[in-house]
Amino acid sequence: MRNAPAYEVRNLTKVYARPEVMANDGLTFSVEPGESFGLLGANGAGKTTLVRQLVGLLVPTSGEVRLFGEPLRPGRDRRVGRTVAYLPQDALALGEFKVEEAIRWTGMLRGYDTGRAKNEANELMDVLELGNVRDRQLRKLSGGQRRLVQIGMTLVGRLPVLILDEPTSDIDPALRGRIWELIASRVRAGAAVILVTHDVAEAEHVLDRVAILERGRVIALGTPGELKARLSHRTRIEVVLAPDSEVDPHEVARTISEDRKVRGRRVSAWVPAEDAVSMLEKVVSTFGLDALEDVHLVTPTLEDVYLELT
Amino acid sequence: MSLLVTRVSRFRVLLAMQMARLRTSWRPYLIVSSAMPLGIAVLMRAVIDPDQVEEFGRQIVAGCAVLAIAMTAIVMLAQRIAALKENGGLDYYRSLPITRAALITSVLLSFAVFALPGTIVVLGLGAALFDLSAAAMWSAVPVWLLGSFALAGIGVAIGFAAPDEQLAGMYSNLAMMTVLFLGILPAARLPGWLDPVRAVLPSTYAVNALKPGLDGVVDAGQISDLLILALFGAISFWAVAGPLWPRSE
Repeated sequence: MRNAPAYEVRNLTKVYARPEVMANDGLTFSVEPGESFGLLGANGAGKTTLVRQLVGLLVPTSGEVRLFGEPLRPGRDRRVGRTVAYLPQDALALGEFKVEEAIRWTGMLRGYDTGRAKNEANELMDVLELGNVRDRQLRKLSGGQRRLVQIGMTLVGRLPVLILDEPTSDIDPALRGRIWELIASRVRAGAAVILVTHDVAEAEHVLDRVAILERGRVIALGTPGELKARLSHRTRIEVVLAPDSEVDPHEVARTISEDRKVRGRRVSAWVPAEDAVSMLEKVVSTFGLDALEDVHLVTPTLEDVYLELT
Repeated sequence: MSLLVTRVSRFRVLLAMQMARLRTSWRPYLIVSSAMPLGIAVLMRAVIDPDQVEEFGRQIVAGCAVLAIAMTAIVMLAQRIAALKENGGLDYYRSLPITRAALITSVLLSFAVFALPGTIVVLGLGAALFDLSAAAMWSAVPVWLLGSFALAGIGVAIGFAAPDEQLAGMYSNLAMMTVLFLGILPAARLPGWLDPVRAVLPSTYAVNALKPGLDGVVDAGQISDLLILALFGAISFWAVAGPLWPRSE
């Protein structure tokens, strides 16, 4: 259906029978083509249950999921395979496949001819730095490499909807950046992307809207800017003590605020935004610049919002 | 026409995916499926009286050949399907734009291929062991193919139904043992109450269809056995692609 959202979710509820657990409780949201939508939440918040319903692998207890305007029929809807590429949270166990063929075959099953599937598999292997293991079986790869292959298998075919459950788990920081850029490029090309992640800080840059889930419910929904505005009255002071400093980090923390955390030499404390600069000056004048390796102010991030709400 | 080309192309890919399994598992497929049936054939040859070889040889060799098919198509396939279900492999296939029928056909066909070496080894060596003819061995080809399909349906059904790979192994071994005893032992030596069980097992018809070939002849009775096997194959295919297919929870 033209102009319909990629996904519309209305009052979606999922209750597992044994033991009885309310995994999703009346979820309502929509995701438009060309939009990246993040699902954030602690372990057990119901994120994976939600995305498995979106791809028809789980049947909702009640409520409705619409895919491009048409109700989704779990397990029987051919449109899902044609329009939605799903990256599950768990590692794929088809270890006998070789890297290149795993991506190419998936592309061919999504309708590409051999040549096109090969070309796109090669492109993806280049971006994901899998070229040197292209003929190796998946079972002989590291966990991170297998995850990269799964990402390649998900992206091949350029389907209009991507559902990615923890895409960057097990992947080193350098490649994570590439993956976020790859995802962002698909969004710019018009794909709807639903992203489940714990990498809140990194994902923030590619997310247009975010839903934060807790115990199966959406407790916050909006753009990263809207959510961060909830904490705009506060600023965080980050202090890192010099390695040879004899200053007690807890003493620094007490000087700044009641709302504080100390981890090793690092002190992190929230203060009212209007007091931030004067408080920073107080820390420098009290302990001296020589005792400090680093000191700076941080405006609230999406991760701060997430940690505050959950 | 283009839809047909697309479907054929996708089926070829699915079949290649299933055949890739051979890279990691060809040894068990060959050794397990041929060693035990061959061992039983050797054992039976050693324990029966020489004057009974002619009477029971065909039954034993045909039964052992069907056992070779059952080892692959029931036991190994059930464990494979249960593992796919358990580790997300089945979800991968379910998220692709392919039909259940295409996936099931590719799985059944690949496991029929995996059963082929064991079947050939058992028939060839078994025939030599019991002085049987290999002249009409070609007639075993349709039995292998249809028998594999029919028995693989049982394997897939067990794999779908079992909660995990270990239980799938246990259930499938029980099914395989049933095939073993009811296939190798002549019907005349079995109690009458087992006749209905034999009648609903595809292995019974596979054994019957193999026996004339071991005499170097092809007879009309084979045709009816093959038709019954085809019917079993169709029913088991329908069942695993339809009512027995794991439902979305």
